[in-house]
Amino acid sequence: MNSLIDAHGLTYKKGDKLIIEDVCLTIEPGKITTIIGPNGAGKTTLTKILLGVIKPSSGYIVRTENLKVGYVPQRIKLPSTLPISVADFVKLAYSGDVRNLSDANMLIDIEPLLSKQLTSLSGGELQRVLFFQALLGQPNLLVLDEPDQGIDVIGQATLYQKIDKARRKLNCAVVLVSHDLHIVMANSDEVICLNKHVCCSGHPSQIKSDAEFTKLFGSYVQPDTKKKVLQELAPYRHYHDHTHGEDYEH
Amino acid sequence: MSIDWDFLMLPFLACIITPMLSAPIGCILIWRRMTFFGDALAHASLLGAAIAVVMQLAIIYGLVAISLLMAAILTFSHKDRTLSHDSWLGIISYGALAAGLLLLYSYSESGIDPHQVLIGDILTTALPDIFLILSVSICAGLLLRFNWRAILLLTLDKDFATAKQINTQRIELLLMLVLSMTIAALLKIIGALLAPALLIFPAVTARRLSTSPTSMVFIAIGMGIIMNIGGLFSSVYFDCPTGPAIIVAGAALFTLSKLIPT
Repeated sequence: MNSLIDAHGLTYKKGDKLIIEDVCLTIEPGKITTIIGPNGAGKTTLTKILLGVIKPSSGYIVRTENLKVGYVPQRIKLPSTLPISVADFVKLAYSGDVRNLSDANMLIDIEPLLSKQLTSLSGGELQRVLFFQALLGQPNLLVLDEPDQGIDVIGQATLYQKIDKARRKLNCAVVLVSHDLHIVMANSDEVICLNKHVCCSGHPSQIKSDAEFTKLFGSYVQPDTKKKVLQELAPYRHYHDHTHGEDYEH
Repeated sequence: MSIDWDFLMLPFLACIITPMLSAPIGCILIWRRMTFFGDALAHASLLGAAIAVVMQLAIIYGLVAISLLMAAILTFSHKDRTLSHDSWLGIISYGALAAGLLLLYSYSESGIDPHQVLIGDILTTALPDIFLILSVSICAGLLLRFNWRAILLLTLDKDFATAKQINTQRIELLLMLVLSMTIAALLKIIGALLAPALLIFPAVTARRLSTSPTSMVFIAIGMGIIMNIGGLFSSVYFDCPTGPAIIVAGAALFTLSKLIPT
């Protein structure tokens, strides 16, 4: 089966400023790719290039013909001037047949929100709505830009559980962008560490023992929660085979 | 006092038709936080009209030219980090308004009364004016109708819209075009100074009373009709200029809507 997206030597410049440089990556069907990196590493720029929102300054990107992307934006600057209910927003975001809407039984997750105004939602509720609309129309690639922003480890585990459930249901590939450098979704097939260029990439190593987990999170976590968190999260060890000048931070 | 219906028939018709055009455009301006943009474009249109009059061209050429010039200046101004977008709009708005007035005052043989260009005169509405508003309304209405989803997605978030395969540049250009067409059509009845208010007032009044974009447009159309007719009749009754009377009626309606408890 062909890869969904094949990108080579992606470089993006804003004026004289180099945002990303020589990034190569392949998105395979059904696989989970996690992109991590510090702030200003060019994660959002890379996501926008993958989505086709912006064109790279150089390099090439090939998308498979039947690519259908479900996109969960990082922060959507909703204008409070526009009156729109969640139900109307979902219909607007989803251009296809509205009858399919009820088929997607993930609707349960946002059902109580449907009649609310979009601008009255809390951050978490808005995130649920944005996630839901991305699943409509049977996407074969789900792109999430920092969906874990501002939520704690437990919320993160729940979110990753939801992503995994959706992936299995739709059989789609997932690209997850995260600012968390050390904890990634446990069943990521590939982790790409980005800092303007790809610093390192590979499988996340599995958590070996509870002791290691405790070292990461402290011992205050309840056993039940710990089990849940352990299933969804994995630490990622960075193996960088190169060093940078002063301009870079890792 | 008796009302001369023969005299008021066409102005009354204009009062009912214009909101079909001005209200949806006003809503889009409000949603996209482009109140100042509409302001600047309307004021700049005065300069466009004045240039066209001096060069003895149809006014529409001047309006198109000035819209293009304004778009070019604004595109260029985005690179200027020392001044904000609204400062640039202020410069364009009042620079063009003043230049247009100077041109009209110094070129008095044009026979155009600068006063009328500023606040318009709905009472002298003639059949060609009605046809102009009607045809622009139909044109704008169709353009908005067929691009409605794209306009709303663009309003929600530009990147989000692009990710949904919307050509945002095309939609932005289209909105600019529809806005300048609208202002051109409204110039005769409300004038360049007050045209932005005619667009904005019904929409801001409708905002609090609506729960969806479409309902806001329809409520705004209703508000526009009430404000226009209220202004028209009070101007006849109190014998005052109609343009300002319409806007004052709009301001009163807005205040009233804010006083209603939720």
